Amino acid sequence: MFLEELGYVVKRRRTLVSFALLAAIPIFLGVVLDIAGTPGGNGHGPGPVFFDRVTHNGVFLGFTAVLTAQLIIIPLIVSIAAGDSIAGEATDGKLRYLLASPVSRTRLLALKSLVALLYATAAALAVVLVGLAVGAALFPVGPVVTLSGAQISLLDGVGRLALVGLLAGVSTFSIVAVGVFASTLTDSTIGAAAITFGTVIVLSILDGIPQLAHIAPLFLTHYWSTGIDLMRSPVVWSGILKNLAEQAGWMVVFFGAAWARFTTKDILS
Amino acid sequence: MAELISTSGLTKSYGDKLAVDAVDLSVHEGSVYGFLGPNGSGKTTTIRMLLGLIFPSAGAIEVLGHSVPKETTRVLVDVGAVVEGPGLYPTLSARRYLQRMSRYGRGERRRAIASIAPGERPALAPDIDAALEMVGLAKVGNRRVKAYSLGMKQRLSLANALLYPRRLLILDEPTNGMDPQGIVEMRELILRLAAQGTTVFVSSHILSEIEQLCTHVGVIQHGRLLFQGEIGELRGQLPARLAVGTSDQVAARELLRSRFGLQPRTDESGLLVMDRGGVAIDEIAAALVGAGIGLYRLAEDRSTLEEAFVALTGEASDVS
Repeated sequence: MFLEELGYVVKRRRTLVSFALLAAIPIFLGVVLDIAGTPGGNGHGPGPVFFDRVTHNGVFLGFTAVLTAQLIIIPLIVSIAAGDSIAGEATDGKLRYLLASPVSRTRLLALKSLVALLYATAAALAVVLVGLAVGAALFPVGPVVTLSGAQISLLDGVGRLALVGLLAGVSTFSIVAVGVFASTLTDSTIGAAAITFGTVIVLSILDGIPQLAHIAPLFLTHYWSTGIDLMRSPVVWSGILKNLAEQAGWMVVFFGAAWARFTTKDILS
Repeated sequence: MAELISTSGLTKSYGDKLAVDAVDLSVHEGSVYGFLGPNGSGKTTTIRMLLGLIFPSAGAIEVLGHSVPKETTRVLVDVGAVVEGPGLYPTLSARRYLQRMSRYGRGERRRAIASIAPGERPALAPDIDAALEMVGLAKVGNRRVKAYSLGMKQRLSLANALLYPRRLLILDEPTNGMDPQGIVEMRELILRLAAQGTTVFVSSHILSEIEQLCTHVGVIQHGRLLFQGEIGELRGQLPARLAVGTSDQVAARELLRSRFGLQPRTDESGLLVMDRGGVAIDEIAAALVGAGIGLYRLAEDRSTLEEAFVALTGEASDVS
C-alpha cells in the first residue's frame, strides 16, 4: 500500500512539474551568476543569502537555492501536495472506493500524511541536489568558509548543506499537517491548498509585526531561518532545536485534528 | 439461511431532514435483493451506511455478522461494492486502476485471511484479468479511463467489486449510463453470480430492470421502507387482473357486470380486462360459455412491479 501510493505520487504529472519548478531555481540562479557575475563584487551585496559567494565556490549555490526556495516555492508546493492528500481522492468519488477496498480511515490518513511528509523532504533536498550539481558544473568547488570565518573541508561543507536541505524539508512538516487537516475539510484540492498556503503567508506576515513579538514564536514560520546556524562554527543548535519543537507541536495539533475529523466524517463525495 | 444484511431502526438525519427513517432491512444469503425507490428516497444514503461511509444517526447495522461501522474494514473484505457511480482515476488504465485498488485493500485482506483456517483460505491476490473479462473490458484494459464511455466506466467499477470471489455484492444503480446491451449483460452477470452463490443487494429506480433479477425486494420512499419481502408477495398484494377474449364483447361485458358485479373495460389489444376481486376464474369461464359466448382467451395478468410500486407509494417511479 505504501509503495503503491509512493509510486502513484511519483508518476503523477503534477509531481514532475513541481520538481521541475524547484530545479529551475538553482539552475536560473547559477546561469544568471555565470553570465552576469556577482553584483557588487565584494562582501555582502544585494540578493539572496550567500549570493555573492557562489561564483567563488559552487557549493554555495545549493545553500542560496534552498534558503531562497524555502520562503515561498517549497511551502507552495508542499501546500498543494498536502491539500491534495485526502481532497484529491474525494474528487470524482475515488475516496469511497479506496475506503471500500477496504482500508481503515486511520491507515489511509497515516499513509497519505507519511507520503506528503516524504514529498516535502524530497522537495527541499531536490533543490539542494540540483543546486550542488549546477554549482559544481559552473563554478569552482573547494573548502567552505563558514559564517564565523572558519574554514571546513568540502566534504564537511556538503554534509552541512545536506543538513540544511533536510531542515528546510522538516520546516514544512507543520505545513503538511495543516494541509492534511484542510484536506479532510473539503472535497476541493485547490480549496485545501489555498487554505494551507494562505495560513503560511498570513503567519509569515504576522511574524514580522513587532507588536506580536511575544506570540510570534508560536508561528510555524518563526524559526525557518535557523537552518543557516548550521553554517556557524561551532554550530548553534538552540534555534534549530526550537524549530524542531515548533514543527512537532504543529504536527501533533493538526494531524490530531485531521484524524478526529476524518474518522468521524460522513463520506458524501 | 443466514442473514447477511440486517438493520434495525436505521436512521440518518441531516438537521431536521430525515434521509433514512427507521429502516429495518433483512437480506438473506442466496437472495437477489432489489432495493427500489425513486431518486432521493434514501437508497444511496442507506447503502453508504451499510458500507461504513456514512455514520447512522440512530439504529444498528450488521453485515455478514459483523457490526458496522465498528468492524467496517473486516466486513468489506468480503463485500464487493459499486456506490453511486464510478470513482476512477482518469489518467490510469483500467488494469492499473484495479491494481491500485487491490494494493490498497491488501493489508486488510491479509489480516482477514489469517483468521481463516489454512485449508479454507481464499486467495490473497486479486484476479484482475478475470474481473475485466467478466465485465467485458478485457480488450480495452490497458486504455486510459479518460477515453471510456460512462457505461464502460460503470463496468470497470463493477470489475473492482469482482476482484475477488465475494459473499455479498452491494450494487447501487449499477446500470446507470449503460446502453441497452450493457444492461442486458449486467443482468446476466448478476444472475450468473447469484447462481454461483453470491448474495446480491442491488438498488435501482428503474423497476423493469430489477424485476427480472430479484427474488426479494424492498421498497423505500421518503426514507421509509414501505415493503420488504419476496417479489411474488409484492405482486400478490395487488388485485389480480383478468384478461378475457370473447367472440361477443358487448354480451360478455354485460354478463360480467350483471352476474358478478365486475367492471370490465376494453384494452388496446381488444381484450376485456378487469379486477376480478374474489370471483373464481372457472366460474367466469363457465358463465361465459354457458351463455353461449365464444371464449378464446382467459388469462390472469400478474401485476408488474411498476404497478405494485405505484400502488404502494401512490406515485409513479420516475420521480426524477
